[in-house]
Amino acid sequence: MAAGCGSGEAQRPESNSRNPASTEESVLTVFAAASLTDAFDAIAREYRLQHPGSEVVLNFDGSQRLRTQLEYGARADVFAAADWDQMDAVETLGLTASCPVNFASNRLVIMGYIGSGGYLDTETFESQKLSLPEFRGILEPLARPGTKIVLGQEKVPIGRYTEQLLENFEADAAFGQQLVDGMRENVVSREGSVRAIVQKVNLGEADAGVVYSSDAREVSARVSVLYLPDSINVTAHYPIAALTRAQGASSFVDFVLSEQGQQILRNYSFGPPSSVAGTNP
Amino acid sequence: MGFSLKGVVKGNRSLGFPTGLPLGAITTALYVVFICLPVLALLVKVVARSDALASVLNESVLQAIRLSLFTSAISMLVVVLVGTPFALSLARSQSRVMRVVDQIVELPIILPPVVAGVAMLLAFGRQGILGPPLAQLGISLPFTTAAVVFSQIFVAAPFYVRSAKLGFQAVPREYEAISQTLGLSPWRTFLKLTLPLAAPSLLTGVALAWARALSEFGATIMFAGNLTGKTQTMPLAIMTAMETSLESAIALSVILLALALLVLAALGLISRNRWRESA
Repeated sequence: MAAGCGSGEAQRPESNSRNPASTEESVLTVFAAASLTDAFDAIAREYRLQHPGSEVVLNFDGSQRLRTQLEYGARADVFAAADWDQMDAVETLGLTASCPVNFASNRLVIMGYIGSGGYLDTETFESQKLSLPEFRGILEPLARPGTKIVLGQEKVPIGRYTEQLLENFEADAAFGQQLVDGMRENVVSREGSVRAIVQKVNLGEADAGVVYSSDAREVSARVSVLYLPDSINVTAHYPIAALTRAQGASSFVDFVLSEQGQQILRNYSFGPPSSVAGTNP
Repeated sequence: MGFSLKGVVKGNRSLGFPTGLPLGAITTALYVVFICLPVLALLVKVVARSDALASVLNESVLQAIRLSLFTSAISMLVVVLVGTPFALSLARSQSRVMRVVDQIVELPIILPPVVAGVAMLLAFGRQGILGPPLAQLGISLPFTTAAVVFSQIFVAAPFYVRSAKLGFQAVPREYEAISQTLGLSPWRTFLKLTLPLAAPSLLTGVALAWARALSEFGATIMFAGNLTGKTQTMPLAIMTAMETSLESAIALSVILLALALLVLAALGLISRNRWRESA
């Protein structure tokens, strides 16, 4: 996917864009996927401590919205996306100044409201060690008529990953078409970013939603998190790239990739980056 | 500067400004350019890519158009039926309670729509204040078409009530008194005198409120969610299209603009006919 990167384009001479003004007053603008909100807040805090005098401005939204903003001339120094589709689009337009690389991964979880009025009254929602048939039993209420499920829009990273998850369910004999059809019937809303899904389930207005495992730390006391078996789950790959040749841009990217940056991401429940760049599983 | 208020007032009579500057022409031009340029930019973009307009007219967009027209029409019906008597009593009442109510009327206008949506959830949502009693009646509002209507009424009603109140206030009370001394019942006085005199204000109110209801986004996506055919109105369809391509979003925006203009034009037509009738 990251074709062309690594050959000529990325090694373009830097002399023309290295003007002193952009490096001295280093206000660094970082566009990052909504799911990175807390992790990147922490990373930026640490980065500022280590680079005194540098200012980091963070802009969080659905990756596809950030991409659109970049396409239409928004200025940013770093782009961190929740999937490669958005990064590829930005790279194709020639907006990247460094090769995008994976810096984190994420898994999907199902969050379910278990408070009064909700449909999911099971406390056994949390387990990875169940056999698949047992697991199917836990999912059964999601397909029951009346259950309200909130998912991401199909074109939004979280929505796209969720589609892959549903396809995995369909393909697995232990789950099957019927369960997935029932779940699809119960979808009451398609949200533009993962944060909106978390909110609606946290408020107890929706019974369940598919979100990232890094969102699990955000859930209210009345919400249970269902971790999915690895054989079924989908891995989300997060790429990052510098968009300008400002000194801060590459040093911020380096910091995210450094051991310290990676440790912060781990603290916020992100997984290690996969070594294969630009894979769409 | 030599720019006295007295001069402005005096100068206004001859429609010129005392500064010697064509202030009227300048501000008019500024205003028109500021409002028209963005709209024009939309149109230019669509004309440049007219194939985009055809390609976005799929089934889900037609559903969004139908849903927008249907829900906003229901909202207007409710707003007019409830808002008219309410506006009349606001205009006529001297009580302190009504004066407080008068302040509350415009609250939704200053409330950011997303906040309005959260507020609707906290009031009418499943976990909201009225959630449990509604659930006992078997009613769950969030994520339904009814929630779309609720959101539209919430944000649009103030525009109608405000305009209608001003309209009723402008009707001289002596006329009504005379009419009643001539033997007309209060009800007939209202229908034959007050209503026709206030009609232009009422229609202006409907136009403003309808346009606001058609464009409602923030409260709707919070309270009603975003599902094709059920709660996805045009503004939500535009936002959804934006996730894929700005071009289809622009094409949809122009369609919504046309719909809103159509509603305004229709109301303008009714308004002119009304004038002729009463003249």
